[in-house]
Amino acid sequence: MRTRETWSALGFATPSVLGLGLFTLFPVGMAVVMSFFNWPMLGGSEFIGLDNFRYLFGEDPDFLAALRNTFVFTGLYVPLNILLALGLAFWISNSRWQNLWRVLFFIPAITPMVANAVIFKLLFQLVGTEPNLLADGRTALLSVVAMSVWQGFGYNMIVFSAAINEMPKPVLEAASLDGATGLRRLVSVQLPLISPALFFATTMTVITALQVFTQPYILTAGGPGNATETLVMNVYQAGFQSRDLGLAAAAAWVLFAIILVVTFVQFLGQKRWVHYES
Amino acid sequence: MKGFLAAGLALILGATACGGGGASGTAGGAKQDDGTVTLDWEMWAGSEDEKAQLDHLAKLVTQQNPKIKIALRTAPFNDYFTKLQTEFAAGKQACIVSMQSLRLGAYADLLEPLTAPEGFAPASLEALKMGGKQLALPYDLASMLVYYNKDAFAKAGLPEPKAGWTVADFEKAAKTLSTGGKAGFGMSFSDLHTLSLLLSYNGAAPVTQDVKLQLDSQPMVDALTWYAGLAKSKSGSVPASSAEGGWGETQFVNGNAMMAVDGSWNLGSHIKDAKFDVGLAPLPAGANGSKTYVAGSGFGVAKSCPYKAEAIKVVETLTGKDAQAYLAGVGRGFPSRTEQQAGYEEFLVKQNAGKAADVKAAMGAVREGLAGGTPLFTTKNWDNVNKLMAQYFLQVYTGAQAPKDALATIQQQGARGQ
Repeated sequence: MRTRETWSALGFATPSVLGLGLFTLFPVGMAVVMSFFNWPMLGGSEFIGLDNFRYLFGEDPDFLAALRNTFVFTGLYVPLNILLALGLAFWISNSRWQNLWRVLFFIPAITPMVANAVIFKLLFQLVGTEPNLLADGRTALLSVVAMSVWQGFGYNMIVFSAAINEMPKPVLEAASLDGATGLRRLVSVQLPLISPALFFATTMTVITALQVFTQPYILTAGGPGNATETLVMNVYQAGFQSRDLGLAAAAAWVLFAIILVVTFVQFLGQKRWVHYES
Repeated sequence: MKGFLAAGLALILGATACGGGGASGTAGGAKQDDGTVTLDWEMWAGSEDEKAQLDHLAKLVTQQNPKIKIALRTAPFNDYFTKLQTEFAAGKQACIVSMQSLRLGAYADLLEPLTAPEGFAPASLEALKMGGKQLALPYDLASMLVYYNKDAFAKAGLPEPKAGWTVADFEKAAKTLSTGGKAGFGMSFSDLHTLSLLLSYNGAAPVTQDVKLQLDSQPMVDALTWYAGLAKSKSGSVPASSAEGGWGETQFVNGNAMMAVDGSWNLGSHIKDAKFDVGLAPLPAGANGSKTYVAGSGFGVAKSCPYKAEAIKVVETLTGKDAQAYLAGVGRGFPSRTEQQAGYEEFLVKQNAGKAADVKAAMGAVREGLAGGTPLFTTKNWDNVNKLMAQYFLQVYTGAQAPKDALATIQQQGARGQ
């Protein structure tokens, strides 16, 4: 009986293990190896140790700018996104048209991002400032953030909206009997009740924000200057425009390390403010 | 190490792709048991029409060389070179490789040198040469022109641009036509569009004779300063972002800019799409007369191809008289063979009924441009240089950065891998 079960288990697990190994673990391992090589897309490769990393942090004028831009983007995008999503979720929770609002606000999240970006590009043109908001180094990144928030808040809003509807009624009633209203009720009762959803949303949003690519790629192509270059654009550029796969792998690993550390810190911090018991 | 990756890739590909069944051969071609050779041909195509044209050419190859068959693979132009470089990296490249002159730099070591037959316009052959080697045979040829809005010129009482007009004439027209929210000239940061006008202005060249970047040279600084001045004096419309690669010509066709520099390949579509009369003129003459860069596309043979003799025959057929006459007849582009160029003009006249005079004048401008044309040779990392120009020229146009500093930045960053 036991062996039969083992064999069936193996049979079911093998395809996914093979798939994971071939399409995830193998490329990931390969990327580590490649980051230590001078690996042009066309032609032979050679081992160069840490030179790719040295170039990224020492000589590449775009990489540090991309790092800075990515952090600025994340620092603006995540709070704006969460606040907007949370505010709207609370607002529509009392509306009798809740489902209609949910659909409407979710539409940007499910439309292809490229199409959204192209439409926003036209909108920025219509605004007609001289120079265009996207051509001015002082406003270009802010414009990208604005478009991204519009595109991205719908998903978090659905998550929050579901969490708000699931808040246990007895707890809310007890709170109001105790005299908790308004801001007090929000901060001490409602937010703790939906804190698992808040944690999930912030963690995922930070990860996607650090990986931002499509919006700046379509809206600004990294310009003007390097005002809107992001880390993933830097990886893409190194790999597919400079055809330097080793450098691209190295940059990708830096991004991976950053995401790992940031997510780890978030998980450490959740003990302080996330309450899973209801 | 590379073998390890190749093995991994082969494993992955093996799961999805099937073998050549009953044929022997390596990447790019296969020989059947009856001696017929099937060769892969990689080419860009953006529509079903274009694909049908290529299928027709593939049939023509078999008609003229019964022992050769073509397996056509296509990708849209924007993805074509990404696909091509990935195929070369994985050893899956086709035998017959379509090539654009501006991209030649990166592929120079991978293509077989060819011998050019008679009958081609010299500039078209020149554009596909590198280091004295003919790396591909051309099927079309293009020069850059000033497209102008005839109605706007008439309304403003300005003389229409014609061969021999100067940079001063151009500046005056751009200034005069900038009224009522419209711009006299649609600016650009794309390589051929911008660099051709800079070349005509003072002979500034982005690369040296041996194809090394020299963007920080004094003539380039002077020329870019002049070009950016068009924005400063409100005669030129500045691209809305670094992602607007086709700004100038789009603004022109939409009627928002009265002049723009664009390639002769858009002649037919601009005359057709614009809601006004389109005129064409050679680029305005600077100190040394009117100049333009010319570019062209053609077909080469991968060095790795196992059936080179057959592949060379295919390239000769694809760029031969019959193929050129066919392509000219369907308006694919300005033919690289001088004899077939009249066919293209006939196509344009037919396509633009009632605008025969416009077309004739336009073709005159094209010939004029080609006469003063030099090929734009590009560095291996030209994609990168293009991206940098988009980012930093824009800063110059908006006045956020001095031309000298922007050019120095591009030069410094572009020096890696050139």
